[in-house]
Amino acid sequence: MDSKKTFSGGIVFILLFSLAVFLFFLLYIQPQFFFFAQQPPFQTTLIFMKPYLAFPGGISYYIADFLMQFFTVNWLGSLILALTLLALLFPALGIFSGLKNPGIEWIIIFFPVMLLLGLFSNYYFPYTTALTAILVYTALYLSTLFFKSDHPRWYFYFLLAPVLYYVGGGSCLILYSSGFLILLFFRFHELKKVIFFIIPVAVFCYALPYLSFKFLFHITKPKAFFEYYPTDSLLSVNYIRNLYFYLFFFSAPVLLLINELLSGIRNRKDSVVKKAPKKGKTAKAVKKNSPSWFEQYSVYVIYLLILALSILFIKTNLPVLGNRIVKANFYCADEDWNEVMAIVKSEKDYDVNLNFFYNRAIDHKGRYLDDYFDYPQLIGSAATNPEKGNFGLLYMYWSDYFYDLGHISESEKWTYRALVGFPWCPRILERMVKINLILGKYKAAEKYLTILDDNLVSGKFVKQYSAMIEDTSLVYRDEEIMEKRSEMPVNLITPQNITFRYMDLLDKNKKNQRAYEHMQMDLLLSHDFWHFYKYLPLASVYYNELPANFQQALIILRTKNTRIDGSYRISEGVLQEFRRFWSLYESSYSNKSKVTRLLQPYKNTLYYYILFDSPRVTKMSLGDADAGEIYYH
Amino acid sequence: MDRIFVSILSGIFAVSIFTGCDSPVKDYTKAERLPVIFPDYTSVTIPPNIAPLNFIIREEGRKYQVEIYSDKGKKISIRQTSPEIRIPVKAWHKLLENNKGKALQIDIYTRKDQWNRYDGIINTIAPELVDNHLVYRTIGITQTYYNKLGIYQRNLQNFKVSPLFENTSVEHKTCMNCHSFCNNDPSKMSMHIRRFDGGTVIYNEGELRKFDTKTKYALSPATYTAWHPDGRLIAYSVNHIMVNHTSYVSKFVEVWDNASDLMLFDVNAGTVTTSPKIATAARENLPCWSPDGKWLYYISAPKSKDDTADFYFDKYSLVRIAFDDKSMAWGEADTVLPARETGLSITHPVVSPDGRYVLFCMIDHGYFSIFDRNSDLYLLDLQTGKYRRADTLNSPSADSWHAWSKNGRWVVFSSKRMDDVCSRPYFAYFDDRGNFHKPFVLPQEDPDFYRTDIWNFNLPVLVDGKVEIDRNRFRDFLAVSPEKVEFKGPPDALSGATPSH
Repeated sequence: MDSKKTFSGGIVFILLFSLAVFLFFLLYIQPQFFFFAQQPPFQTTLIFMKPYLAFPGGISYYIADFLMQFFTVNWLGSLILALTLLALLFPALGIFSGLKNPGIEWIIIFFPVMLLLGLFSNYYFPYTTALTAILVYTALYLSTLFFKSDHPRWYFYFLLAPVLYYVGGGSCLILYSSGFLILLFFRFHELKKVIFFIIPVAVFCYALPYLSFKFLFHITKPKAFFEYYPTDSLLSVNYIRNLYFYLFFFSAPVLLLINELLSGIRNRKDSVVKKAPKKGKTAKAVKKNSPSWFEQYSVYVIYLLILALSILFIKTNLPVLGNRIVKANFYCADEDWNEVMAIVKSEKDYDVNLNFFYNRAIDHKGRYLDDYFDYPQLIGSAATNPEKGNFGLLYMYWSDYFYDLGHISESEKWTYRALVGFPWCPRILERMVKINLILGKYKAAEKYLTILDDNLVSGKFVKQYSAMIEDTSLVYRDEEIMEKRSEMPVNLITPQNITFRYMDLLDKNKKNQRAYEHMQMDLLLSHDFWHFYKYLPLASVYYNELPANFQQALIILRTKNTRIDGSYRISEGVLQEFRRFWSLYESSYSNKSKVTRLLQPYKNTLYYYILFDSPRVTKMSLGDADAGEIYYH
Repeated sequence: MDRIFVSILSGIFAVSIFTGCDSPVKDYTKAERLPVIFPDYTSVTIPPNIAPLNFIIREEGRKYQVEIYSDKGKKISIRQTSPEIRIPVKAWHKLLENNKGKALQIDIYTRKDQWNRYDGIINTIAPELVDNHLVYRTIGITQTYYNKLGIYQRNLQNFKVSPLFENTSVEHKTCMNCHSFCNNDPSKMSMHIRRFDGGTVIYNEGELRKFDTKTKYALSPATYTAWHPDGRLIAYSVNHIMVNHTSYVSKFVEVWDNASDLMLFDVNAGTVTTSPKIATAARENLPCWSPDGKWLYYISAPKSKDDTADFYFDKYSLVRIAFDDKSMAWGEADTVLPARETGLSITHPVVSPDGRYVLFCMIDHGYFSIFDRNSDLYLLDLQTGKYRRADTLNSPSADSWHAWSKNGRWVVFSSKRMDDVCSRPYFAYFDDRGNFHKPFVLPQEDPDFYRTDIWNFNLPVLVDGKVEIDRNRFRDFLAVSPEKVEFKGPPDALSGATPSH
């Protein structure tokens, strides 16, 4: 194949590859989940921008946060992600083209792109890392031009490196400097001059961050010298770096080294070939004129290989459970409960986050008691009452939970805590607006609306709720706000015990069925049957017939104590079910695996939970995971 | 970096101001009312050395003209299409300097189809200066948690802000609080570092030292501090602080102590002592010295009982005790203003530099006023023993954490009046008849600042000069291990104190 054909074929391949990637992002990844998982902050104000200018790398973080705002619109986000890959591809093309073997050349060029594509399949992957790589590749490409120039200027590096350091940060400087030294070593052939440059480049690479740290910026050492991505974002803890990440991050200098070594080998071969014609000139020339089948079609094999590797990198990077958690969380925030259920059910393994989302979904679908044990409640009441669990969920989950119940001051408490870590997060600020409208603190609601008004994604919300600030009588026409006002306890010290908080809710509004159901299930899951029984008389407010879970609880209570009030009716169906359950259990309780197999049809009963799933039995513990690095003050 | 950025912006802005025509408006309609401006800088008394009161005109218009003038000197005239008025710093200072004690008039014209002239805003330039720096802490919108913190100093004569320390400059994002100065002197400062690299940092005339003030005899390390005027001693409280949340609309967080005592720290010797007079079973808290150093004022609540409700709802009285710094001897505690008389709980007493007044807050119960929307400022005249609500200063939101200027003519305090969310520093003139004038918020270069900013300005303190600590020197100093203080008390020092746990 001649080079012209290879070139045009390459362009077509790049176009098709970009299109496929765009569709992959649009239809499968859906960048809106990226935004949701990472909650990148952005405001159009100078107050927001100024802190980004106060440390090296801040500008690229700012750009990353800005671009990620468009991820809220799937097609725009997909376009940005696809263009990001292209932006990486072009400098790579500039750096690595020139190898005489187009196959290896294409693999090298596409290698960082394929890796990045794979990394993008994780919703927590920090987008800034992609920008850092683009900066490094672009700077190295410019450096290759410098080496090609007839009069390479020695100060080129010293001009570019500080700019790169300020825009991209310490890691950018180190990666670029390493690549530059490799170029210097391989392309600047006068050894004396190489040594003359290597020392100042190495010294500069250390001195610049050091001096910045000591005298210029008020930052930590890692921020001055090297960090993979901003760790200020509390959500960055959710991203676990894997081998692909490191391969991608350090790809520029490593690939450059490989490229230079291959070029060296190829050049040596060429010089051998140039000398060879003396012996078999004619035969070689004939061979050159008639390419082999492999040589003719190798480029297509390479294209296929690139596609296959891309798929492999995506597959092996894809955190299926992690992404499902993000999606379920997203749909919870969006109140699309059917989607939440679908995602939770698609996951075979138990997960505490999904457990929490499932409980919220069935609650909102009005099937809290009916479907409660359809998902194994393996952490017991901790998934009903997140405070008990102390697991690594976001504080916003807690806020959601208490907001659902109508315990507004508790919801506010958790929203405040979330806000400490994410002061610009639209989701949190929107909750603050609603809470303050519910509390009648219109000035505060207006403040949060003002902050929201300066971002790029909350226009609709701001329009809707600003009207209520202008005319507060609209608040009284808002069903949600009025409902919450009727439910929220006021003028009380918030009790530590969750049962008392439920009781405060019920004291305020007896019709708060949700509070009652949550309280009773919380007690049952904690094996606290006596308190459950104490509050059982309230059930008559909500049900003509006791829900099945409550009837099951009564049966358990009766097996323990005969003095239980017999006036509560237990249906024949529930009794029969218990008898069947019990006979199966008694028949083989000594053989745990057998009995659990036999009792599978009863997995969704309280009996099964108490005997097999309860953390008291399984000793399942969530550890002491903390919700982000927010410290107690 | 910040300075470069601000300079570029100022340059761009200056161009936009001075390219406008500043000829007087001749044909106009009178609006017969004051214009609406943000922040509210109308009818206020300002120090002659304050930075320009930049503001936004919240009146419709396509063109705006502002004229600022007084008896003497050149009128400042600004005509522009933007309603954001940024007053040139040099011209402003010249005008104020030449007109101390006189009225400062601001005339505002807006043009939609034709020019409108509003009633002139008449402010007063006080003859007395305010201390030229303000030190404060910023913390995000929060109740009891923090992530990003910083202690900054702001030059009040211009808009220069420099951090003394930001917790984002250390890896563990440590907490710091309770910065305190000796007699508004920028060369003597203390502050506490909590959680990581913890200790009380003393900056004493260029020297930095860090102390671990927790002794086995005290409830906690130093909490609320007050420098004795001699610059050698610091009185501080030790507290068992508890936090709980409530569903009170006016106070969502209840911060309370179930025990507290007072201690005395000699910063030169690195020793701590106390006395049964100031460390009793009652809850002594928030110490403050009289300017001559002969009296220690503080608040005190009865010993807490085991009933939780009592913890919350106890009220504090204002107490003082005589002190002789030579013999280190204490007199007898004397209740200056009992809670039973006020019906409210007294907190944050601060004695005026002339020793005549005590400015303090009152809330329904407890002492932690910043979360309490009902927190208001009161003034006690120590000559007459009478106290009154400082009505001019107060608002329906939390007003608290106040400090006097060195000359006693200015107070600065935190108020959430602007948006009920963020505390902002407000300044008020205190005249020689003992009256406060209408307060005004700290001016900012960007007049839209307070609308978009989301940080609380905590504990504003006036200092008479720049604190000469390099932020990175402070950062690097934090890694130093603290010096352990030595407890050196008379034999009966702890006889009344609450046992440490």
